[in-house]
Amino acid sequence: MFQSLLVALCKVFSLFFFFHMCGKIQRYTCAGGLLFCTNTIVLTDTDLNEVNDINRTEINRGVFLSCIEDDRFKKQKLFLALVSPLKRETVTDTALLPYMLSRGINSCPDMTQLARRLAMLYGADISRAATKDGNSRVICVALEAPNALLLPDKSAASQYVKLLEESVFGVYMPGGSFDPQWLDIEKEKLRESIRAVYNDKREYNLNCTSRAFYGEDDLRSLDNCGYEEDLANINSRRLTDIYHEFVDRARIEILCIGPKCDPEQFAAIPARTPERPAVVKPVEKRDTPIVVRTPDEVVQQNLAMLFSYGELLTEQQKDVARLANLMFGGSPTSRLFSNVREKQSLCYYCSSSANYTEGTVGVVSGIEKGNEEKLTRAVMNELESLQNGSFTDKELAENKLFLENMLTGVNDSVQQLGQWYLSQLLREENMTTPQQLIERVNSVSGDQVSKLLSMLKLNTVGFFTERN
Amino acid sequence: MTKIVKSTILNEQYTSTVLENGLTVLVYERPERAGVFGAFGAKIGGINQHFSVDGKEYKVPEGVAHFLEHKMFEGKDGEDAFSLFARYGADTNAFTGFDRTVYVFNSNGEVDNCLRALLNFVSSPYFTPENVEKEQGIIGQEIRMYDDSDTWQLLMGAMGLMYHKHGLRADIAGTVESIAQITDQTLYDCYNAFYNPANMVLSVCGNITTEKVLELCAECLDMNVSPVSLKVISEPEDSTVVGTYAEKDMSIAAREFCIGFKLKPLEKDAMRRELLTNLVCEALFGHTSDFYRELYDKGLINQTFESESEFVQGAAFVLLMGESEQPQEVKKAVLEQLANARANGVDPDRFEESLRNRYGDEIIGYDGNESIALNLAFSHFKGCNAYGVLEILGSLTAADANALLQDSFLEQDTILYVINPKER
Repeated sequence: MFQSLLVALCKVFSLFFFFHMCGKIQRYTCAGGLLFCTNTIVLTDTDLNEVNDINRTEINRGVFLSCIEDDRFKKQKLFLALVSPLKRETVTDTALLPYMLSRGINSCPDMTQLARRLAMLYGADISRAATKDGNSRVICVALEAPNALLLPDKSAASQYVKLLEESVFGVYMPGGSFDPQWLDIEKEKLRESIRAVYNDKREYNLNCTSRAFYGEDDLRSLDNCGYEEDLANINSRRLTDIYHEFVDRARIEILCIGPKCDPEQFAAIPARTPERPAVVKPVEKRDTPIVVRTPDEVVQQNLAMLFSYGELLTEQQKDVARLANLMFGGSPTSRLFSNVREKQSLCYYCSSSANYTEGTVGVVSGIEKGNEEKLTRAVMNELESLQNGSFTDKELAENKLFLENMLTGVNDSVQQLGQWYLSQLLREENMTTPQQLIERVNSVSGDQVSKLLSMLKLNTVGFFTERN
Repeated sequence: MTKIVKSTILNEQYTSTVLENGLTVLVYERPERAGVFGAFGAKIGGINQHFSVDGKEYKVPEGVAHFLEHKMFEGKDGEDAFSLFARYGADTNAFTGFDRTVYVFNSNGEVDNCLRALLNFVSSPYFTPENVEKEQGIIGQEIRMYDDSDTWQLLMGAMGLMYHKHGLRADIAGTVESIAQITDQTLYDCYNAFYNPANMVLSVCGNITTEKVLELCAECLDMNVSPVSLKVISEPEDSTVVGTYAEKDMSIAAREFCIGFKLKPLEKDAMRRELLTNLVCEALFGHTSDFYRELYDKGLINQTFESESEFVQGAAFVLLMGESEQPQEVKKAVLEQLANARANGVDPDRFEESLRNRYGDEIIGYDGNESIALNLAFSHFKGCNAYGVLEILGSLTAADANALLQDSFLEQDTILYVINPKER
């Protein structure tokens, strides 16, 4: 918590993103394509010869364990994620659960005691977050700690797993339910988090625009942190019931990265028959895009443009879409960065990201007052140019190389390995190693890129503008 | 000559070489990793607006170090550094802080070419009136983005309350007005002063050898550069704060506060004192403290509460920041906690926890190529050995913390800056 401040302004803003999640505000350093969703294939025996082998095993019905054993790292990381269908009626309750899980566990029935115990384990850290992923609600508890093999106290490793498990299954509940006083405190913290989304104007604009993009009734339009109006109805009994239902029925994915892990340590997690989230639907294409304007008192306006392919992508199309996004606005040599920002000087940041599972693309940008039309036109010009195939072989090759460079580095980082495999595990996709994806994307042709991008159509535009 | 710097705790080492032109080169070899992270830094940042070179004095507009950093990416032949690195599939970026500017790359292939590209583009300034004018537009947009950033405004507001004349008062990016005064000549003046190899460091971490790095330096860098007599001029800074309270309104959801402590600038034992300052903060206000728990449960602070510190030439400060509807109450509680620790001593258990926390953080910091390379560069700028923190940690006690509190974190050195939410 208390570190020297690194106050610094970056040349390329888009490499640093702030994701606001319930329970924690965390900073991630994003590396190009790693920002985005991944797809996977089941590993075969030959794949296990790669640098970081991963093997997903169902250790109990509905409970899956994946381990990446690697002694090179100075830290180790354990994830325990619960996956259940996202529902409007419980979205606020489940957003509140990470807050309540942080209040204490049976062996440490108080948040301050727990913080002290973690500190004595050389700064082990447990984070808890509720996120939404398509139609799924995910509550993930993660423990990050120094590699126990490097510590003066070698017994730390066995305590890490116990603490992680207890943080989900051994939550302290005096009298069998959440402490009402603690609940009142944490409801206020959640209320503050719900309101805090407004502080980040880019995220706020993106949320407003996304609601129009998906439609108000679509589960993906739900606010991740839930709704203030729900808080009054949440009491200890209700939340305790929802906690038990969620923990007992969710599919569980455990991912361990670091020194060797023993599956027996997780054997006590009970079997379950998980309820499966509904498959996401494609977002429709529109002849005339919806325009959302959010007037406010801001110095700099910002823009969100959301596009859809109009259908769910096949596995092969996803590979093409990955490269297409890098060329459009997902890399430092992309059209949006090199032309819209650098050559036309229209903004300080302008980038695109893609959701390959649902077949959508988003562009965000700062925007100077009076430049709305010029900027949106500039973005569309770049897309149309790529759709027409007006790009060079060099452009294609450089973006493939950029992706290869980024993916090769995944095996060097606990953080990146975690992001890479966890996102695949949560979607129960076929596991893909970084090397496999490199090979697939390297075989994508320019024609495939322009053909796929021709399916992409602007659906919704959101302007966060000055009030007058 | 190359020196080897070893850590007995980590059982690892790095090399340190000073080249003929004065550049310090630090290499952390990690053959077991796929990639390489390189950082090429100059000791110039937002605080440097007044300096002399070989006796000639210069005063430059606010934001010039950051502006210079942006412009370094543009090459003479019109090709920017991003395109250079794109040829090798690598990623590059740069950042400017209060007292440093660092250019970086991250590569997992074609490492030699990437290092060549880094050395070449940072050594080849190319400024014209036209390309300076173009950059004023982009940076103007960046400045306006920070105008809407609550955390940035909180930080700059606190600096304005704490410092009378020190360069920390200036926004690192400058203002739209100040950057309008920057010319190509301003940039050349700053470059020639601060980008002399003797004022710079190259640190590289990953799957590369010291021999290879030195060979590439010899190939790409001019070894006949003469050192310059650079003197950073700081106006004498009064030890008092400018004011104790200020506030502003912004379009935000909840009231935010920043409690700042103006500390004495560090001279001797800088790293030890910096480390001790952070440990004291952790022990008194961190998650393990009764203070944190009490204020959290009372609703005076929430999970956003955090502390930051900065130690630069001629200045040092600690900030406690967060959201609260009652910032004055938080400040009162902070001062009470300090008074209590001064009178009764820092709780030894809390101090031990903060020591262990920091020990673990340090070990984890040696996991990634990026964090290692940057740590090496930053430690060099502070005049320290990168392993120094691990070594010093073993020698610190609660008694040291108590001694520090006697002349730091005093009430008269405290400010409170608040951002209020505007009516929506």
